[in-house]
Order: sequence, then C-alpha cells, then structure tokens
Amino acid sequence: MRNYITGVLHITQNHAADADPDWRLMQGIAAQDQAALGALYDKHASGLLHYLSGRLGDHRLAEEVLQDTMLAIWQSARRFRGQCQVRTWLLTIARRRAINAYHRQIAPTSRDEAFDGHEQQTAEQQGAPGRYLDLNAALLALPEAQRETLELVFYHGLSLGETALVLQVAPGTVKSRLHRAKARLRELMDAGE
Amino acid sequence: MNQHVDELLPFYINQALNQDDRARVHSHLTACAPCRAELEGWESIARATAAEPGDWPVPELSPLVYASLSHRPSVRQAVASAAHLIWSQRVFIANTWLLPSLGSLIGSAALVALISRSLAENWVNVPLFAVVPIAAALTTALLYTFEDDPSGELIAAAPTSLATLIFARLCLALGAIGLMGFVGSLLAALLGQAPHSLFEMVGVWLGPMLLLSALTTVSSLCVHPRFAAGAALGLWGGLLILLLAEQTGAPLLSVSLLWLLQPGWTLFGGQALLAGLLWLGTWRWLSSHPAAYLHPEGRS
Repeated sequence: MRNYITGVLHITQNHAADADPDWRLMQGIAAQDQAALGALYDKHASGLLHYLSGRLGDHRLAEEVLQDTMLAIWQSARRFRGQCQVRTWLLTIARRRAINAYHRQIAPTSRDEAFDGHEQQTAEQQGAPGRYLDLNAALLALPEAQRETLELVFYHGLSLGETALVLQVAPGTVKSRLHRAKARLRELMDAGE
Repeated sequence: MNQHVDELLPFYINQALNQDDRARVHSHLTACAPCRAELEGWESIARATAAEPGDWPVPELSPLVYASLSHRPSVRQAVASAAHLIWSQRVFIANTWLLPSLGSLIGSAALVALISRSLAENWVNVPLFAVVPIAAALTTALLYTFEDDPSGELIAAAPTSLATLIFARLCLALGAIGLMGFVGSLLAALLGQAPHSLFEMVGVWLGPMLLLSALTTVSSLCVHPRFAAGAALGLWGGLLILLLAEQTGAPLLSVSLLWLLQPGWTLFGGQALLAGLLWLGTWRWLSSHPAAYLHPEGRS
C-alpha cells in the first residue's frame, strides 16, 4: 500500500499548487469561506455527480453522496496541501464516500471488491463477443473497474498518476486496465466479423 | 509499434502528458503507422466515453450541508469520534503476530518477577522493566509499515490525517501493551510480598516505556522503521546489560544505574514529560509535512 501511495505522489509532484485553478478556492474553504465552497461545488458538482452515478447506479443515492463529499471537503480543506490537483482530490474523496455508501445501503455484507477492483463478471453480465454494433453500448458491458478507469481518463481527463491516486492502485494497474478495456471492446464489437 | 508510446496514447488524447512526453509521442506518431491506427482506436473510445449518458441536472448544495458547516462537535461527540478512530485501528494489532507475542513476553516477565522477588528486593522490578519498554518501542517502530496497510484509503477518505492515524495507532498499541504490563505488576503485587505499592511498580516500567517509545516514534518517522527498531534494541539491550552486571555485583561502569529501578515520581514525571514533548513535536511536524513522510525519498 505504501509503495503505491509513494509512487503516485511522486508522479503527481509536478502539479504545483499555484498552477491549479482551484487552489485559491481551496484556500478560501480552508479559511471557512462558504462562498468558496459554493463556487467549488458549482464548478465540479456535475462531474462528481456523473462519476458517482456511474459507480453507484442510483442517481438519488449519488446526490446524497455528493452532499456528503462536499461536507468532507469542508472539514478537511485545511489539510489539503496541493500535492495533487484539487479535482483529483475531490474524486478521491467522492470515491471513498461512495464505497462507504455502497456498503451501508446497497450491499452491506460485501467488501470493496464488489465496488472496485473486480474485473471479473458473471457469464450473464458478460456481453457475447461480436454482439455490439454500438461502441457506447459495448462500454456498458465492460467490467466496472475498466469502465471506471476509462471514465476517469477520458471523461474527467486525469493523468496516469492522478487516475492511480483516485483508484488507489499502482500506475501499472491503470495501464493494464486500459489495455484490457480496449481489447475487450474490440472483442465485443469485432468477433463476429 | 513502440510499447511505451502505446501506453501513453490515452493520455496523449486527454492532454494529460507533460510537454516532453507529448512531444515524444507526437514525433513518434508521424513516423509510425501502427501507432496512428492505435490512436484512432483510442479516439473512438474517448469520444464514446465522454458522450456517455448521465448528465442529469445538478441539485443545489443542500441547506443541510450549509447548516453543518458551522456545526462544532460537542466534547462528547469528539471523544466518541476519537474512540471510534482508535478502535478502527484494532486490525493493526489483531491481524499480526504482535498481540500474542507481546502478551507472552510480558506474561513471562511477570512470572519471572514473581519468582525472582524471593532472591532480592531489587529483582522484582527487573523483568517488567526489561520487557515492557522494548516491546512498546518495537511496536511503535512498526506503526506504519505493514503490507496491505489500509491507511492510504483512510487518509484519502478525509477528514482523517496521517498524523491523526499514526497517533490513534500509537494510543491503541501503547494502551494494549500498558494494560498487559499493568496486569503483570498487579499479579506481582497481589501474589507476593511486594516491597512497593502497585503504582510505584507500574511507574518503574511505564516511564521508560513512554520515553523509549517516543524516541522510537521520532527515529522511525525521521529515518526508517528498521533503524528505529535496531536503535531501540541496541539502546535498551546495552542499558540492561549494564544494570544486570551491577545487580550481580560486577558493575561495568563506575557510576551506579540502579536508581532507574527504584520507584520515584520525579523520575517518572521527567520521562513522561520528555516523551510528551517528543510526541508533540512529531505531531506538529507530521501535520505540516505529511508528504515528506509519505514520499520515498523522505523515508528510505
């Protein structure tokens, strides 16, 4: 665990705090400025809600977790030191809050594997090779961990190190998930040809 | 096709590469047709992912959240929260060899204390004095080094800071070892003709336990856990050799160290005060330099 934390921090060191457009808002929140929290919410709520809805599959619960995430940000803003982009930090907190909510409300007896990390699916969940003509539909047939990784990279625009930080995995795992996602999409769409 | 460039293509598309890598990938693409084909594949996936449905209207930030912002927890809530955090770290002790090993060590020391007290009055304090501080120091050195340590996720889940987490573990570990030491002293006091009161007997090992653990905390965080464990073993082992030599009538130093085994509130107070100052300094340092602790170049 420590190794990937240190590795990821090393990768994300080049994000100087003053180059982050949200850094001033975070300073405001750390100084208990509610308007700064509102501004940060206005800027990032849409992306966070998209991310949370995708992970939880329940829009109402995602909205609750979003509010919970903002409260956590308010409480811990003083400890944010600009070691990663604010956006990455928000996604990391949102992800952990979503996992907590998932355990509490959707699958109280399961562990993290049900929410993250698991790339195996049941035969029923797996799409048949060549079944999909539409890439968007094929994306929905990907294992959750691969789809989440694709979203963080292409929807949220995170770097390799930032994606690894949010997912709490090694950068090499991010690369392999992307590679497997691409191969799986190709399989889902091309096998019949 | 260049394998390394292939891995960078998703981040070339989302413009998350640094300037050097971006220029390198760009230059490679102009000369490599297979990589250009790969890039097209990634671009299709990027477009489909970015166009995923799910852009629902975003609700306003809840009034309940705004109401909570100015909320200050009561003392009772703060204590309950701290207790919950400390208890959540029990896996640190329960999932390792630590608790049974230390229990056996301290139990043995208590037993030896009972037996040896018939030999000489001073011996009754030696076993627990010898075992409890070094057991606590070794545990302290390992506060943040176990494999599969879940602390990264706990820290990321805010508002738990690294300093809070480490001191929660410290409280739990020292609390557990201190409790075992106390039971040992209690047995020694109840089952034999104790020359000192129970609290005096506890003070003999509790002061050194706090001071040695505090020194180990500092060296573990500033240098390395293995260095801290080795230094604690060396320091304590050397001190014990000197004490035992003096106890058996063959002192190695011209200065007596037996006063360390004599109960005394001044000695205990000094040790506890110094330990407290060391931990306070560590807390402040960790709070202001969390990355220095996490960063590989800062640790190993």
